[in-house]
Amino acid sequence: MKNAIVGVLLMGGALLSLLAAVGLVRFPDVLTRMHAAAKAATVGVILITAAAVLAVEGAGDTALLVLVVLLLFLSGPVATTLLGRSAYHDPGTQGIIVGRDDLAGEAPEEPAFDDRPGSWWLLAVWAAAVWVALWGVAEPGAALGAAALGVTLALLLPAFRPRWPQGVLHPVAALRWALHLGWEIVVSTWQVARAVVSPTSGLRVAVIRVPLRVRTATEVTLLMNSISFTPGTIALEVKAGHLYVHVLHLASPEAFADEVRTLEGHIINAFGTPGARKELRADKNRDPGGRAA
Amino acid sequence: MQTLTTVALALLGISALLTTVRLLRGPGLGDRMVSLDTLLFQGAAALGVLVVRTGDFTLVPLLVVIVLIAFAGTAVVARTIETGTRK
Repeated sequence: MKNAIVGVLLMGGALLSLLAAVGLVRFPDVLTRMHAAAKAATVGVILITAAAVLAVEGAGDTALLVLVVLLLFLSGPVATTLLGRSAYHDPGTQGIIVGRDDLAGEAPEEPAFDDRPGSWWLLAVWAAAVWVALWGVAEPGAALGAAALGVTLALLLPAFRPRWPQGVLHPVAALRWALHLGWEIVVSTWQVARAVVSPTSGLRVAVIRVPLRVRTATEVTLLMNSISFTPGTIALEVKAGHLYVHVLHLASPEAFADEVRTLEGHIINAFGTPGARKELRADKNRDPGGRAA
Repeated sequence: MQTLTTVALALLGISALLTTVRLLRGPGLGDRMVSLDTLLFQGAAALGVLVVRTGDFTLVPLLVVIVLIAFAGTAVVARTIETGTRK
């Protein structure tokens, strides 16, 4: 039974990797190619890591899987957005294919910096957690060594001290967000896989402008990461309270805006500030049985 | 399981060859960066397959390292493309 699951995960990961490579060769421009490649990076590696963890049993291995998934979620989409954004605005990029383009003619937004002071012990805790997960042991000795390492790093590297996330975590809502995102990834992986093997003339590429309800850097980052993590959509730019998303295959602008609204609602409920939650509830009351399910 | 891992490695090998085609053809810096990134992740996937094949779990932390290197590389290249735009 276990072997069968490992086999399915391995084959799934390898096939996704192949599909991504085929898309990388066949798709017409850099952004559509990024849509294809993102699959291998996220879903493929997650599947194969899950297979590896399942095949080799041992204490603490699940922590490593969680760490890999977390790092993929935190780093992959940021890289995708950075590269997509720079390639989109670069006049040297050839042959970008877009149907409807809400971002056409707009200059790139200057990056905004978070000037709040960083927290040294947040970095220490984060470094310690990664250290323990990497070694896969939860002995007191290892935890103590990890804590010492974390504190040393935090004191030596003031520039890398992370800012506290703004907002309050609601664990149940966070789980619902994770499940929602997981399901979206399964559905859109299937759609991108189909697009890879269909004629590329059938693609309906678009850059869609969506109004943002999230305000704080934490919420915006989580929303952009969720969007770029999902195959088929890349968050390109935040400008004047609006989010611009590059979509590989657009069904309809309204349906897509609804999807983003749903995702946004999940994120506000899970990680938002109390103020944002209140606004969300008021929004729902004004629009009862609202389109965002 | 041996045959399965062999097939998976073969599929990853073909993917890497196809990705190399895009890496060589470009045409832009962005295309090449996406290809390199994909190659790294295919390497990470191959490592995962090797873990299943050999049962050697010590390779898994390498996955974490590859994921982080891929991120740093892409971020730096994106920055380079962007500062080039604003000259």
